[in-house]
Amino acid sequence: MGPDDASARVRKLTQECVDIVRTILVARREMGKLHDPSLREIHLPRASEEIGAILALTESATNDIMLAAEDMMSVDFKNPELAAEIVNDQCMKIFEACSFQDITGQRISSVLKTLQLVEKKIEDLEGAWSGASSSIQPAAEAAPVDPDAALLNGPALEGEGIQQDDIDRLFA
Amino acid sequence: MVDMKMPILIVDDYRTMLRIVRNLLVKLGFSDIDEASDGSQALSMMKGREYGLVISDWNMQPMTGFDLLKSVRADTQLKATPFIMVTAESKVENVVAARQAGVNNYIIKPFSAAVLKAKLKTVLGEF
Repeated sequence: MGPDDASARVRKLTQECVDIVRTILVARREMGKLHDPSLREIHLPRASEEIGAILALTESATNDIMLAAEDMMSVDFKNPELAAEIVNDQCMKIFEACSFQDITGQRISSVLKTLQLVEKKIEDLEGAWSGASSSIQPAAEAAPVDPDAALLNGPALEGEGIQQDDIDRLFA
Repeated sequence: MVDMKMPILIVDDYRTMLRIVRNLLVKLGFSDIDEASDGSQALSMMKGREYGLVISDWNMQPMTGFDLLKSVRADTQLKATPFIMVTAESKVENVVAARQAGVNNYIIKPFSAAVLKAKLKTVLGEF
């Protein structure tokens, strides 16, 4: 190998190193655009609390249903009228307890939205690293187009929202 | 006195909730109960039949219970219909917005048969 060949190889290697550094810098810049503190500070903790609330609610509902069933199992049918009344009341308690399905459904939808947000971030990061970064938009919360959309928050967590008694006072 | 045979429309996108509310109403003595799965279906049904009461969820698609309430109150034929919101939305701003839009009462999910009965009495009178 002559001095010209060696010099050409050094130039080629240098250029490749420059290209690698440039790619890393571009990727870092694009990943920086994806930084969204709300994911770690708001959405993920909220999702965790929602799952905790789902576990608590399903446990409470299961307990209520089992208690009602146990009360019906211990009914003395020697007095049919009283027995019918107890069975009826316990059936109503089972119906009331079953409303957990609606609340947990709404909470699961909320967690699902967070998972979709995480999925989108991962896709964007893959895009940034693979050079498809030009199409990436900086992270931003989509502003609700409909002002009433801000009123769609789903079930409140413990300590949030107001209680039925407070609402009753508003309607008194 | 309340006419226990009056038609009542219950609106919710969860089949389970429709079933629960229907059963609670039947237990309270009401018998003529129709169901809708969102606001637009409910509005269409209200235009075809005169209901004595609407019990609606808030969070539904494509038309929310809040939009249904506003549409009902804006309609000269329907605006006097008693309307109870039954929802998991428990923020003050939701309750205030519903009150301003003309809701007659507001129940937070999950609720008991006793709470539903108390609100029905407040809105419809003793039964």
